[in-house]
Amino acid sequence: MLRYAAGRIVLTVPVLFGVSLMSFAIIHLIPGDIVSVLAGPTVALDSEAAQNIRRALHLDQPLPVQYGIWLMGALRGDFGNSLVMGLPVAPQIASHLPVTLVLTAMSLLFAIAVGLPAGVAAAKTRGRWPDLFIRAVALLGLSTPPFFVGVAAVLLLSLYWPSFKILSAVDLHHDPLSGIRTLLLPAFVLSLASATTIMRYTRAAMLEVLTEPFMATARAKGAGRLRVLIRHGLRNALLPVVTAVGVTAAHLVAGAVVVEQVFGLPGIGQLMLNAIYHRDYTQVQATVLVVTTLVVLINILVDLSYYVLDPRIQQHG
Amino acid sequence: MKADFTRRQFLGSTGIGLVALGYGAGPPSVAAEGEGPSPKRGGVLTIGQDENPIGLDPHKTAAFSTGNIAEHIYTCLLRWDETSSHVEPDLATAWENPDPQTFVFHLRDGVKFHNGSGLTSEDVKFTFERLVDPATRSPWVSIFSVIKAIEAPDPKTVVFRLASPFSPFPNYLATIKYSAIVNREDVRQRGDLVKGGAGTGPFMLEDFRPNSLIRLKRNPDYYEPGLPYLDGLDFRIIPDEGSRMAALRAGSVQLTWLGRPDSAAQMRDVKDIVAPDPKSYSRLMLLEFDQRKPPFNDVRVRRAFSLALNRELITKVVWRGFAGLTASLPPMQAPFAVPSGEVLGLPYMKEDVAAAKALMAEAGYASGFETVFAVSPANYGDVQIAQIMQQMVGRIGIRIKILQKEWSQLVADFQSTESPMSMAGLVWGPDPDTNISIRLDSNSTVNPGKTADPVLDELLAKARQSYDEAERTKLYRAVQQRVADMAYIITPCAAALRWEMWSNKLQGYRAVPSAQRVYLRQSWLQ
Repeated sequence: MLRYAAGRIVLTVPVLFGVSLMSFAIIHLIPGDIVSVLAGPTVALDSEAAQNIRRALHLDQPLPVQYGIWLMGALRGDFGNSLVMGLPVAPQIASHLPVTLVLTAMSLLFAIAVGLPAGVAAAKTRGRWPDLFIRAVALLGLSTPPFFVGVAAVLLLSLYWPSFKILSAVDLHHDPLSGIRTLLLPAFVLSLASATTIMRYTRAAMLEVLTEPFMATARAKGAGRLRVLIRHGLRNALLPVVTAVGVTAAHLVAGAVVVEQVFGLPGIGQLMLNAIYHRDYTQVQATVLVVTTLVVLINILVDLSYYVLDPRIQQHG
Repeated sequence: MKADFTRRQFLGSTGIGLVALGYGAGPPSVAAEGEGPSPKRGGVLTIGQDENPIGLDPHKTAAFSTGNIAEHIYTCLLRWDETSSHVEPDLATAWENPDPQTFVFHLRDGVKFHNGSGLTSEDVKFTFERLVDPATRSPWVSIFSVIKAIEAPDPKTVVFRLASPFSPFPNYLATIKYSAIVNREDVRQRGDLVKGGAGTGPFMLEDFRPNSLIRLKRNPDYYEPGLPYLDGLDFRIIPDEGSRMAALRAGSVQLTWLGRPDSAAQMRDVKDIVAPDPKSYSRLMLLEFDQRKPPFNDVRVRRAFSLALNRELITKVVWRGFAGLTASLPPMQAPFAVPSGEVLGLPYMKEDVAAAKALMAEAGYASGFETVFAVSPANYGDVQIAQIMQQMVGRIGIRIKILQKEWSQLVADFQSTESPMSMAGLVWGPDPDTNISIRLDSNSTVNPGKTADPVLDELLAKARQSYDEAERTKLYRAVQQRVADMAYIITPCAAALRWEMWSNKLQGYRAVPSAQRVYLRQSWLQ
């Protein structure tokens, strides 16, 4: 187990390095100038004022030197200062990360809580109306993007349920309870597509398992229907479902960018979007690295859970 | 009174009715004399802001996102009067202009910064030294480098000595985005003001949570007695326009602004929401030609381009009528700007396709040419206008390829004259000189079209140095005539910068075309 885990973690190092190099290259390849953001359209990009700004931000150095400066700092845990605000990047990320983490976790919980039972129920009633109904709803959930559901939810609630404070400010640090309450709706919106994915994987895996001979054996030895379904059926169907949950979690982090925008949530997605928009290179670098690490971590957890769920991997791994 | 009325039409508030009652105009005593409900102390106003501020240092950026907050924390030596056309005393109660290159300001007594220290002439001196210090990275360095020396002969007197006569000077001193007065000791302690600082404004910073909430609380020591009425301002950052509309409907915010005329139209008849139509347009759409190269180095081609446009149609189709015809100064910059109604009287402004075709043939482009037009979809209107223009000039054989660029990319393109044509919307500047000199003066460092016209340079220099409003008006009218005649730039229309709207619980507030919200100091919640 330890060796398995250690191997997975060592593999993430080149991944993170590659991602940092790529995000650095991409953000610098996009045309546009941070000076135009800081100084506005009335200052010439080759004027003295513009040169001052560039010099102060080391932007007059060649790109490999800039990357080198950044990497040396990052290795020592210093992600530098935001080019736009002039403040250290790390505390910014630290203050924005909790909202995204809580939002993603809540969505994942919703998605599992809805998707798993729905998938099992659909498989069990295959071809009959509950199955058809669940699949129809799922198709709708899958084909409506979160930015549409989000905007629609915000608009409808503001029209018909104005006392439901959808757009209040979230402060998880000082007022976690009301923060979580505010996050309920965004989390629900974000979870729709994931719940659908999880439902479909569960249904497919269950259908396969339900026809296995050991299910008949379990029934024959007189186990209760629910026990057969959950303990013998679902347990064996879980492996592909866990994979789906892992993939979904990565999608949730990406979807959070959209949902944070619609609901005005101070999460990492907003931070990243603003940074890209302002060409705040250091902020983009650090934020992308953190998000990547998050996704990589989720994948490691998924890998490790195989190990727990499937005894066969324990023997070979 | 008639003159006053027309000026109001161009410059005045968009808060219909409120002005007529005298609200929002002048000191609170004036407001109290009105007939409607009287001001009430207390309450926190929640504002739906569209963008996270890029720091709160008023000297470091031209961004609206920062100015929206800083304008309540800081004040200036002067401020704009209710018509946004003249400056009046603020931190300075009086000023003299003994000779064209000297300005003497007398500071108000008993003004305290939010950190408790009193305002002195040293703070004012420090403010302007900070503005021109390269380390500050202020975008206004070139404007304030006109200051040759600042003297503080006593704690209540500041003397500015200018390198040359500069009539826009008082206007910049009245605009918080340009010259917010900061406290010397405060800046020394904090290093910079990115996370907030001590100002002299009606509200002071309580909490700054990036991408979420900026909370300001009432400054009990504010120098206008009794003001502000509100206990605080909460700026809630909601980037999505639809969500801001919803938040206003639901009452989560009581004031917000939108950027699209179609969104604004949806809010026009909503119960309990005040959504006045903009009466004056400050966002000047400005198209630049690369005048160094053919075909646009030929004045006949530029004139033909101008003649091919039906400007009235553009305002109707793109802006639902909420835009005005404009010469090279936006109509709100009265009295200097040519009024919308007279724009079509300027040379080459009125559509004439036959004449345009003749000019094209004369210039040797009878069969037309292909060219590239760079615009950005970042703000509503730009791409839409480009598409209509594409059709209009297509009639005289100019085949335009529209190149859409991201905003910061377009600004770079605009300033380095990459594409043969580019267009961006310019926002309100405190003085007619702000935008027009930068764009068209051959000595300017930002001159995207590379205009080099000695006649124009001389007119602009004279206007910049004249302190006589009537003379300046005459000079700027001549500038606009010259620009239209030579078709150096094309200004298809001027539109609203923002559509501001608020809950009817908010009283005493009015929107001004420059989108400054300083009137919140005399607004209250019912």
